[in-house]
Amino acid sequence: MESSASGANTSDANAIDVLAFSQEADVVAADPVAFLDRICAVYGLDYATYASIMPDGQIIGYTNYPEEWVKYYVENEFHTIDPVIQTAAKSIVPVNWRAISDDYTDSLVFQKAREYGIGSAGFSIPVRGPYGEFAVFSVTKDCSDEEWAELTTASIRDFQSIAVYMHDSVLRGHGLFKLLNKKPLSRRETEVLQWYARGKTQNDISVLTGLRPSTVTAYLQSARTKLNALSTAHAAARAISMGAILSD
Amino acid sequence: MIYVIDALNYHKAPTLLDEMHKLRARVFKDRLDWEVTVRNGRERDYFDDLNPVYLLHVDNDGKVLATLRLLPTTGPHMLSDTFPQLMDEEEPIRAATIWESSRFCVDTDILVGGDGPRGIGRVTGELLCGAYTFGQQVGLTHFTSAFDVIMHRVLRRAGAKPDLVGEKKMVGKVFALAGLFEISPETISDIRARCAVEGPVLASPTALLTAEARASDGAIGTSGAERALEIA
Repeated sequence: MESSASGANTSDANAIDVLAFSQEADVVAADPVAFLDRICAVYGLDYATYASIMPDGQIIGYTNYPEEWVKYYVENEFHTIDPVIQTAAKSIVPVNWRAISDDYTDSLVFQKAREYGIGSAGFSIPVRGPYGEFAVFSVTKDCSDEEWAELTTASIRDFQSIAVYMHDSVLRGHGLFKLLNKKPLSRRETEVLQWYARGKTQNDISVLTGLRPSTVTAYLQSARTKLNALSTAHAAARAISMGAILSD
Repeated sequence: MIYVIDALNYHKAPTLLDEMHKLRARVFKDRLDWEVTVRNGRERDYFDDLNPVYLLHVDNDGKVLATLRLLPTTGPHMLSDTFPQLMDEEEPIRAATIWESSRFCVDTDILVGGDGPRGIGRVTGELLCGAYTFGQQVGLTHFTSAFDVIMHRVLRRAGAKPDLVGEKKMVGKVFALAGLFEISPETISDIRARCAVEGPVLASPTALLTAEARASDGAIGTSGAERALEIA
C-alpha cells in the first residue's frame, strides 16, 4: 500500500486511493462530471469545477454545480468577470476564496453564486499547462470557515494532484492535443515503478534502491504525473501497457 | 520576516521586487560571476516572466536580506530548461506537489557571521523555514533545486538535507548538483533548531504594504530617483 509523503495523515492517503480505485482508466475523458461527483463524495465537498482556457480563448469546463447556476453563469458570460478565473490566470498559488473576497467585494459572480446556493467557502487550484493554456480546479462547500480550513489543510496535497491529473486527462481527450508528447520516465522513475509493480512497498523500494523513502515517493509522484495516473497502481498498469516496465 | 509575493501581489511590492533583482545581480554577477543577464544593475531571466512566487526576507528598515524563487515542476523551470544535464539528460521530476526553488541568495555584504538576528546562518534558516512553511500551506511534498557544492554545504548545515538526484556536473564555472528536499514538520523543526529560528517567519499578507513603504522610503534618494526616471 503506497503511502503519501510523511506529514500527511492516513485519511489523505486513503482518500486519493479511494478516488483512484473507483475510476477506470480515462474515465475523466469519458465522464468528467461523474469524476467530479466522486471527488465531492470522497472529500465531503458540495461542488467541484474544472475549467481550462486554451491559448485561442476557447473554454473547456466541467462542473457538477446546479444546472440553474450554470445556465445563469453561461448566459451572463460570468467567466469574463469571475475573480476565481482572473486570479488563476495570474497566480500559480492556490487561492482560498475568502482571501480574494476582500479584493472583490463587488463581485457580481460571488453575490449571485450565493443566491443560487453556492457556499462562500471555496478553494481554487491554478494549473499551468505546457501549451500556454491554464486551468483552474475549484472545490466548494457551504460550511463554516473553521470547518473549511480543516478540510482544505487535510486535503490540499490531494487537490493539487487532482488538478494536474484532471487537466492532463482533459487535454489528452481533447482533439487539439492528441499529439501530446508523452514525457518519458527517467531511469530512476522506471526503476522505482518496476519495483512497485513487483509488489514492493515504499520502504522495500527504499532499501532496494538506496534512495530515501521520501525520494521514492517523489519518483512515484513524478511517474504518476508523466503517465497521467491518479494512483500508482494505474501508473504501473499504464507503464506495462506502454512497455515501459515489465509485468510480472 | 519572510514575505511571499505572488503574481497577484507583484503590484503591491514594486520596490521590494526591484531590490530583489538588484540583490540577485550583486550576488550572481558581481560576487559569483555566473552567466546571468544583468541590465541596469538588475538580474532577471526568462523564468521571472512565468509568474513565479518570490520569497523575500525583509528587515524592519525594508531592506531585502535574502530571497528565493519558486516555480511548479509541472511547467518550465530551470532543471527542465536550463540544466537538464544535472538530471542525467532525462526528463526531470515533475509533479503537482513538487516545486523548484531557484535564485536563492543572501546579502553577505550587510549580514554578519553566526546565529544572531543579523547572522547569515539565521537569515538563511528563516528563509528556508518560510519556504517550507509556505510549501506546507499550498500542499507541496518536496522542493527540487540545482545548487553548487558550497550551497550544498550551507543547506546541509542549515538542516535542509537534500537527497541528491542525478550527477554532479560542470555548469558554467561551478560544479552543480540537483537535489530533492522533503517538506515535513520534522525538517522545519530541524532547521529552526540549527539556525535559532524562533516564532512565526511568514509575514501576514497585509504586512506587505508596510514593508513596501519602508523599502520605498529607503530607496528614495538613492535608487528611487533612477527608478522614477526609468518608469517615466
